[in-house]
Amino acid sequence: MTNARILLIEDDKFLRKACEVSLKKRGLTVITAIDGEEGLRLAHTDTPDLILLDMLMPKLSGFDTLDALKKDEQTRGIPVVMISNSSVDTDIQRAKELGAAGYLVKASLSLQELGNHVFSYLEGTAQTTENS
Amino acid sequence: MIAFSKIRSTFHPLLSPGTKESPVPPILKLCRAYCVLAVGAALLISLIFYVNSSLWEEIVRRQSELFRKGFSGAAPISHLNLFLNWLGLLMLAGAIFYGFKIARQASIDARQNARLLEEANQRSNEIAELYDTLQRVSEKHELRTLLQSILERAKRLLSAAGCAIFLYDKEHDDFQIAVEMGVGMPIGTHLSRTEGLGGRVAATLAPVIVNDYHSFPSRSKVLGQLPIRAAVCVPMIRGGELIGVLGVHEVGDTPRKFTDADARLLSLFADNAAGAVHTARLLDALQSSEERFRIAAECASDIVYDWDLSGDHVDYFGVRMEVTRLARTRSQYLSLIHPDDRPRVEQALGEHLHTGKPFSEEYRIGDGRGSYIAVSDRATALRNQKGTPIRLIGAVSDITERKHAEQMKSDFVSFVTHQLRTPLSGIKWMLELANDAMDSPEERQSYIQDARTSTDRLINLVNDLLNISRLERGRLELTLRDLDLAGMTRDIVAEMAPLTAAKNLALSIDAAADLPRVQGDSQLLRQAILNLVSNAVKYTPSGGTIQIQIAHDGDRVLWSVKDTGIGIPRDEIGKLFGKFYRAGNALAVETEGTGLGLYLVRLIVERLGGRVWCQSTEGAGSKFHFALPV
Repeated sequence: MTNARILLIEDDKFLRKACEVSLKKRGLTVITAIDGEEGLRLAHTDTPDLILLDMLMPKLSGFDTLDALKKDEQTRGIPVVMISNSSVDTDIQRAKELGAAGYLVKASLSLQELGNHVFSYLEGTAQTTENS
Repeated sequence: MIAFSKIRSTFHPLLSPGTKESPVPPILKLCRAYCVLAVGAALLISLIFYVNSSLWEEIVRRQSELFRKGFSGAAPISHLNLFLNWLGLLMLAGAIFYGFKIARQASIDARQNARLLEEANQRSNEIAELYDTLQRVSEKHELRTLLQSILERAKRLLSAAGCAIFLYDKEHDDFQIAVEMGVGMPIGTHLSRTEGLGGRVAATLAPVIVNDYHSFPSRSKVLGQLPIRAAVCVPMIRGGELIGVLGVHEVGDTPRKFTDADARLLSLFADNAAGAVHTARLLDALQSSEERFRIAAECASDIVYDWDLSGDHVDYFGVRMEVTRLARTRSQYLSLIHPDDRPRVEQALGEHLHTGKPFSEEYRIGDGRGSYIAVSDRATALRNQKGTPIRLIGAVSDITERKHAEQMKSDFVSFVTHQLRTPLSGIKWMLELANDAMDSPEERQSYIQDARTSTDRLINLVNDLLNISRLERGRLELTLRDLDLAGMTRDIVAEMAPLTAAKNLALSIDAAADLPRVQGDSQLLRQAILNLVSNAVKYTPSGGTIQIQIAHDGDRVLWSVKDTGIGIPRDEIGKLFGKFYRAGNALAVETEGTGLGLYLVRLIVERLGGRVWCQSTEGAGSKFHFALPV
C-alpha cells in the first residue's frame, strides 16, 4: 500500500507542489503532470495505481481527460479521483457519469484529509462520490 | 276711449291684414264683404230717410198710430201687424248684429285654422326631414363624421343659428364638447356634469328650453360668455343611459323663442341619434382597444397567440417571429419546438388544460433557418361554462438575450469561484505543510514563501475584479492629477527588474524630452502600464527584447510597448481586450492568467478619454499602444 503510485494531474503549481509533498511524506510515490495531455501520456507509461485529476485545466479539460482515460483500454481500470474547486451538482454528476471513482473539493479539505481519502480509495473502501 | 278700443278690438280680427306666414283666408274675405254690405245697407237706409225726412216721419206717425189705435181697440189685424212689424225690425237688427258676430268669429277661426294648417304643414315637413336625417345618420359609423352629420341636421331641423353636441364620459363623470357650429365653443373642453344647461339636462333627463340665456342662473363659465340668446337642449339616451346632450341655439338678438314643439322634435331626433352615437363609440373604442392591444403585444412580448383548441387554427398578434409565418396550425407550432424540449412543453400544456396548473415554460423553437431561439411562453386557457378549455391564449418572448446574460453571469461566477479558491487552497495547504515542517526551517520558509506569493496573487485578483466592477459601472472615483508618464513607466520597469533579469530580457525606454503631462488617475494608469509591461515580460521568451516608446503627437500622448514574444494569432487580436479572453497560445505559456489584464487596461484608458490598440504577428512579437488626450 505504501508503495502505491499516484499520478497527480494539476495545473496550479502551488497546489501541485503541496499535494506532491504531502503525499510523498505519507510514503506514496507521486508523479505529476501539468495538463491533461501530459497526464494521459504518463498514465500509459507509468501505470499509476490511482489518478488525482484536476477539473479546470487549459487545453484538455479535466472531464475530457477523464473521458479519454476511461475510453482507453489500458487506463480504464485505474481509479480516477477528481479534485476540483467546483461544488456544483451538475459537475459532480458528470464526473460520476464519466466513470470517476470519486470527487473531492480542494478548498474544503486539508492535506491530511486529502491523503486519508487517497488511502481509502486505494483500499477500495471509499464511497464513489465523496466530499469530506 | 275705452269704447273706441273696444270697437277696435271687435273689428280687429275682421280688418287686420294678413301676414306672409298666415295669409288672409278666403272666408275672411266673405265676412269682410258681408260687413261692408251690412254697413253699407244701414248707411244707405239712413241716407234715404235723411233725404226723405218726411218718409221717416210718415213711418213713425203710422207706427205710433198703429200703436195707439192698437191698444185702444182698433182692428185686431193692426195689433198683429204692429207686433209683426216690430218683431221684424228686431229680428232684422238682431240678424245684423249676429251677422257681425258670426263674421268676427268666422274670421278668428279662419285665421286660426290657417295658422294650424300652416303649423301642421311645417310639422309634417319636419317629420319628413327627420326621417331623412335619421336614414342618413344611421349610415355613418365613424364617430367624428356621425357627430358632424347630427349637428348639421339638428340645426337645419330647427332652422337655428347654431348647434352643439356634448358627449358624456362615464369614466370621468363629465361632458366633453365634441362638436359644435355657429357660436365658437371650445371643442374638447370638459364641462362638469352639474353645471350649465348640460347639467340641468343631465339632472332631469328631460329637455330644457331657455329663451333668455343670459339670465339663466347656472350658466357654465366656459359657455356663459358666448353670444347665445336662446337654447333648447335635449338628452341623448340609449338603453336608459345618458350618452350626451344635443343642444340647438340662437345667437345675437334674434326674437325667436324655442317652443315645446321644438323640444319634442329635437328629442325625437336625439333619441334615434343616440343609438347611432352609441354604436359609433363602441366601434371607436373597439378599434383603439385593438390598436392598443396590438402595440402592447408588440412591445411587451414578441407574439401573442390565440389557439382555437377545437380546431387546430392559431392566430397571432404583434407578429415578429418566424414561427408566425411557419406555423399556421397548432400541430405545426408544436413540431417547431426543439425535440429535447417538446415532451416537457406538451406535458406542461396538458397539465394546464386538465388541471389549470399555470403554464409557463422556456423552450427552444426553430427559427426557420436551421437553428433555434430560446423563448419564454406563458399561456392561459379560456374555458366555457362547463370548464372545458376552448381557446389557449399565450404570450411568447424571445429570451435569447436574457439566456445569454444568464450564461455569462454563471460563467463569471464559476470563473471567480475557481480563481479565488485556487490560491486559497494553495495558501491553506502551504501553511499546513509549514506547520508540519516544524523541524526544518528552510523547508518551512519555502512553504511560507509560497503561501505569501499565493496571497499576493489573490489580492491582485480581488483588486482587479473590484476595479473592473467599478469601472464598468462608471462608479470609480478618479483622482485626477497631472501625471508624468515617462517617470511612471520608469518606476514600473525598475520594479520588474528582477523578472526581466531572470529571463535575460533587454528592456529599454525611449521617452521624448518635452512630454506634456497627462491628466489622469495615477493609481489606475499605473495599473494599466504595469499590466502591459508585465504581459510583454511574461510572453517574451528568454533573450528577447522589449522596447517602450513614449511620444507627443499633437493633442495626444502616445505610449507603446513592443516585444519579440509569442505574438497573437490574427483572428484573436480583435477579441484580445475582451473580458476573460485568453488567446490560445497564451494559455500554453502560462495557465494562471485571468484574461482580465488587457480588459482592465482598456477600461482604464477609455475612462481617461483615450484609446488602446494592438498590432501583432504570431511567433514574431506584439506591439501594444495607447493614446491619452493631453
